[in-house]
Amino acid sequence: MKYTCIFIALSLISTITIAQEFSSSMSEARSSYKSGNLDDARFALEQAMHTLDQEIGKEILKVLPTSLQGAEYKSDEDNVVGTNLGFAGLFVDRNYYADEKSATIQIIGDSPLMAGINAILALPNFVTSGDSDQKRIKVDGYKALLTKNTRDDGVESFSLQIPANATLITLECLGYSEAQVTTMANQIPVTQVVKLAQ
Amino acid sequence: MKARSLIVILFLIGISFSGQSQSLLNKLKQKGEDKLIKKTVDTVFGEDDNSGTTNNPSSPTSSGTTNTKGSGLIIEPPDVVKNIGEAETAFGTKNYSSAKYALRQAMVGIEMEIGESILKSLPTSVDGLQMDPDADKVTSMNYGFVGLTMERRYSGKDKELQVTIGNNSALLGAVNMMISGGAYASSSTEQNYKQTTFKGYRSVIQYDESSGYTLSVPFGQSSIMVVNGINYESEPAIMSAAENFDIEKIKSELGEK
Repeated sequence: MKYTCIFIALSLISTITIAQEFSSSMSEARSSYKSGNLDDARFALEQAMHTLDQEIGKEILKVLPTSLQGAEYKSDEDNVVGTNLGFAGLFVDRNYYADEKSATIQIIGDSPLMAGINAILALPNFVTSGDSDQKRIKVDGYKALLTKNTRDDGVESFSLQIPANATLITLECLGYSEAQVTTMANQIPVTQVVKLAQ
Repeated sequence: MKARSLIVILFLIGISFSGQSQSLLNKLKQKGEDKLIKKTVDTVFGEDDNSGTTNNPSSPTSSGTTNTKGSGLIIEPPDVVKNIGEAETAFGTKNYSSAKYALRQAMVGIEMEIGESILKSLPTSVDGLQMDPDADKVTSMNYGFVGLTMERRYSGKDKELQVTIGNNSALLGAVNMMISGGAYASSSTEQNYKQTTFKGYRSVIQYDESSGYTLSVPFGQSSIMVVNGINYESEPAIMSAAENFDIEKIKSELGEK
């Protein structure tokens, strides 16, 4: 009970701080713009975008599953970065562990990799069927690209990429079978994540 | 195995035949539509039905109707103050998607104003060539690889000069690093590019038989100026024309250090 109260209090403080940061950046942008200082106005808006991306990232983490096929997430490894570098505005990742198995969900907003993956997904099925390590599946109604990688020591890993609008969701799994990876993928609320990230 | 191959071949022949018949049907349909359009046009303009030529320069669309009206899009930069207000309201109601959209619009609005201001500061004539006001262009992608770009074209007689300024793009930062890292340093006497210095900035000049001389000058943290000259006689001639652009002023307007 005590810990729950502390957690709620910390979350509240964090939200208030983010709201204050956003509000401060917006005020600065408005005043700089009105005084004709366009470059400072642009910088303040970039800061506001960075803050907004962080808030969006936190909302995305709230809807991501806390366990996947028995693997539990590590809350201290949850990561949200609003990079504001142009090519990766939003970056969120969550890691899951179970003995020697592990999984990671990564979400990148405004991803430059989108075009490449979408191009592969748009190809007719017979063109991609030549690569036995790559196949297309559907997750929450979205087309996704599943790739199997085999290390030198024979350990298999899977990478699933789901492009949606300007967002790329990636699920990396180590030590799981293809069927398990598909089940894990279906635990990701893709529609909700895409709605938040867009 | 043989039976399977046979099925595949028959299937492919089927697709091919259905494709051909579909294409034939489309051609017939198109011919029918073309005749109908011609008849309608001839009726309206009183042309002779048997005159085999047409003077209409615009080509009809696939539906057969040619666009003859419309004055294009109303292009106005987004209202910055309005979008800042909308972003604040949307953030307050936790509608983050709308907040992001409004923020991007506000940034596009500001970048368009920065671009317009820089274009205004550029010379109206360079090396005897006059600017083409219709070719002035400001593009703001706000995010992605492009960032903010401004273009101006000067032309006269058989010569043409185009200046493009790019800013705030991740890609430009990479180009800057490549040049300052010596990626374009001269290594051969036959190559069509070389490193040079423009007003104290390390730059690259290239020559191509079809596109002429191109001088690329990266500056600041993520900006670049590219000057492309067509039909310039020599490297000193294009360098002298490029001297007309005040890179320090552009740098200052972009807020670059």
